Parts: sequence; structure tokens; C-alpha cells
Amino acid sequence: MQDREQAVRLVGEHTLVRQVSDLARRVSSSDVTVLLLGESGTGKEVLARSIHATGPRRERPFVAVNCGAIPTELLESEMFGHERGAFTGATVARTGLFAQAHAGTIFLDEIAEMSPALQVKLLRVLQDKEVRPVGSDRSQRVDVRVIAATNKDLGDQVRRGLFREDLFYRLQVIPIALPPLRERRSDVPLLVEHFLARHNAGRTRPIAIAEEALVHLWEYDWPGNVRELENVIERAVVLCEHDRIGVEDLPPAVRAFLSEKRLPRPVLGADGIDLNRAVEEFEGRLITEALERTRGNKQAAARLLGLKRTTLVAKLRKVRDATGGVDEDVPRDEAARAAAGGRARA
Amino acid sequence: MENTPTSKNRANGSAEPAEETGPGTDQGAHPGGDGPGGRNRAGAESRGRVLVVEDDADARDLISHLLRREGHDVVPAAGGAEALALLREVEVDVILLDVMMPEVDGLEVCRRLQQSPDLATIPVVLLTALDDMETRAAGMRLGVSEFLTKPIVKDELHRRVATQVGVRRREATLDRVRTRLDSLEG
Repeated sequence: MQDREQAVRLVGEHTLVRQVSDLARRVSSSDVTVLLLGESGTGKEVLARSIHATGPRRERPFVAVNCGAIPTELLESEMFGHERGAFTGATVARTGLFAQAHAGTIFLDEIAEMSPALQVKLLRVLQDKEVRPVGSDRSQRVDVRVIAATNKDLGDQVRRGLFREDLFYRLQVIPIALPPLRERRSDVPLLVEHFLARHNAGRTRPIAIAEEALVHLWEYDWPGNVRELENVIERAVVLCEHDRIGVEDLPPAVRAFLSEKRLPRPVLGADGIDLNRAVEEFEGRLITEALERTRGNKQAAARLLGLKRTTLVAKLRKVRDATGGVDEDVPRDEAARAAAGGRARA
Repeated sequence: MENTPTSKNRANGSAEPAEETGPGTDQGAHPGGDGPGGRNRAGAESRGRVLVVEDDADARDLISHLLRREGHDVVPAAGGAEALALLREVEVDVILLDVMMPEVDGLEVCRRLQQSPDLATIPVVLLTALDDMETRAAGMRLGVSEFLTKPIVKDELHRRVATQVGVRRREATLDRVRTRLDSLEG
């Protein structure tokens, strides 16, 4: 239901974006039901808006409903409306979002969050093109184009009995999957340029970005996808004290991404950590780096690491076994144990 | 896009015996890669054919070995010129490309790929040193899909390659949706 200004097209030149945009353009001319799939922040709502904005219903309302953000008990009356006195607190009758979207498009985001009871009702609306407000005994006709979206694997939800199969097939006539940003990194510079241009429009002091900062943005994995990138750029623009965003203006998580790859800091997450494996990896990286720096001279590398040459050679053999070894299945544990023993002796 | 191993490809393969990578291997046991939100690990869906372009024979063999063990089909090439020649004969899902190579180097290969409409969409994973910002910036401008830092970390290699094989799978899925739309529109 947010109505802030948004670009009504996906920004990018990646082949997947082109394919997705092409499909969106084609489905916009008809009323075929579209299901948009993708992680949060990949642009599902932007795409839904673009389908609406380029189709015959563009002069009519576009109503977005986030099914996950509205409490289950309220969602039905939000969607279909209610009569006065239909439930405690319903002091006046209210038009539902479906009726508000009449002749236009309704965008049902996070559709997987819908309760089973409401799924039945939605299916009926899609089949009969009628809605019945809560507490009413009369149905009203609605002419609405439905675009649904989810970041869940809806097929899996069906298999687990959490989502109705009949509704699933009704919704996913044309499924369009939006790629996560980390699968189309080549679009990062273009997106950055897009967000900067939006910021710079009408400003006397335009802000650019340093190439090294761009490299960092490219390497980050963007769990929050394009939306996260947009936020990072907005933040950087505010923090930036010059006319060019530098690495120092980026959030620590983005900034640390490249340097942590060099020697990733082991994180003890909620699921715990495989200590042997983490130690093994850390050790392996330091050994490789020492060897690189000494151009493969084991004696010199051992000195850098404070080891005897023979210890380094033994470790090297174990690391090779564990990372590039012939058979991973058996020796991994053994190698880890042996490495641990080796450390004790060293 | 069909992705069956061809005899042509096998003939271009390295001297190593071809490993059988059917469903009987342990790859299927990997979780993930199973939904829009899943990070790719090598599941059946993320195995593809990878062109490994690396002039250092040891590195090339190691990378090839690791990828084959993960279930990928590997086409090795010892240099940029050989890679470009192979691409005229073999369809691949991903190109794993070293930057520092004599004669035709990695960035030059990228440049030539960009000039060919057929090849420009193949994802390129560029092998580069972590600190080499200049190469990274150049790669960004040349449409590289991912960078893989040398020295190679096995998990990172698998993650990057699987991601890009996943991109090819997504393309195929979107193609199928387009076909469905064609049939709906009659």
C-alpha cells in the first residue's frame, strides 16, 4: 500500500533481466494471472507496477496488499471489506481492497503467508470474480487483474500442505522468477548509476562514486538485493563528505566483504560451527598465502609461519588432502584429527 | 538449452579418465538450491559444463578435478586462443577464466566474447588476485559475471560456479514460460 515514487521498470542489462522484462511486457497486454517469484528486494513490486502501468488498466487503480504484514484476522476484511457491526470494532462498513482495485490491478505480495481459510476464499474470488464483504450476505462483482508474489518456494509449500494446490495452479499460470542481485552482479554499476542519478537530479552538487567503492559493491552478496543496494547508496550519499563516494562511506558489512575473503573471520552462528573445519580452512589460507609470498619457497614460508620446514610440509600434505584430495569422504575427519595432533606436536 | 555431454566434448577433454557423474554420486545429498531463496550448493540443478581456461597446468588440473568431483562436466583450455577456438565447437554454461595468461589473456578473451552476440551471454568467472582492483574494475566493464580470488578456496569455487550454472537454468526456465505464453496467446 506504500505509494512512494518508484521506477516502473527493472533496471539492468543482464540477460535474465531482459528476459524477465520481456515477459512482463508481454503479459501486460492481457489479464493472464502472473505469479512473481524472488527473494525480498529483487523488485517484485516494481515489476508488478510495470505490468500494470504498461497495460490497458493503467488509468485504473493499482492496489498493493502485503499479505504478510496484515494480521491474519484482519486480512479478510482488508481484502474483501466488511459490513457495519460485522465484528467488534466494525463501527462503519468498509470497502475492501479488491473493490478498491475494481477495473485495475491488485498485487498480492507474500501470498504464501495467507491462512488456509483465506486461501479458500481467494480461490472463490478468482473463480467467480465476486467478493463478499465480511458480515454481508451479498456478493459484489469485481473486475480485477491479479498479480501475486512470494519469496517462498510455493511448490514446496503445497507439498508440505501449507498452500492449496488448486490455488497454486490458479495463480501460477505465468510464473516469472526474478534473479537475486548476486546472480547478476554485472548490473551493480548500472543500478548504482541509476540510484545516484535519481539523487543527483536537480542538485547543484552531484555525487559520483570511486571505482574501488564500486568494486566493493560488486563483490558484496546483497542478501537484501536491489533494495539493500538502494539503501546503501542513499546512506553513502548522506555520509559522503566530498563529491565522490569512497570505500569509507560504505557500511562495514560491504567494506569488510573483500578483506574478510582474504582471511574470513570465523563466525559462531546460531547453528554453531565446525571448529576443526574452520581451523583447517584458516590454517590452509595462511599457508597458501605464505607460499605465495615466498614464491613457493617452503623454507622461507615455514619461517614466516614460525614452523619447522618438515611441519609445514606435513601440514601442506594434509591441507591438500582435505581441499583437493583424492577422496573426501573418509579422510576429512582423519585429516582434521591428524592436523590437530600435528599442531599439538609442533 | 540441451546440456548433454557430447563425444566432441569428451574428445576435447583432458587426459584424465572421464568420471561418471550420474545421479549415483553423492552430489544429490547437498541441501539447498531448492527455491528462490536457496543459496546454490551443487545439487542436480546446478551442475553444468564449465570451460576452465588456465595456463598453469597444475592449477588447471586441480580446478578441473574439483569441478568434476562436484558433478560438473569440464572442458579444459590452456590459453585464451584455445578457449576461443573451443567455444566455436562446444556449448558451455560457464567460463572460468584466469586473467594472467601469455598471449591472449583473460581480459582479452572477455573483450572478444563481448563482440560475439552468441558468446556474450555466457557467464564468465574471472580468476584474479584479491588486491587487484584494476583488473576487477576492467572486468566489471567487460561484463564479467563473478570474480574468484586466487588462491582458490574450494567452497568459493563451487559457490561461484554453481551460481552461474543456476543463471543458465533460470534462463531455460524463463524460456519455457515464454513458450507457455506463446501457446496461451495462440
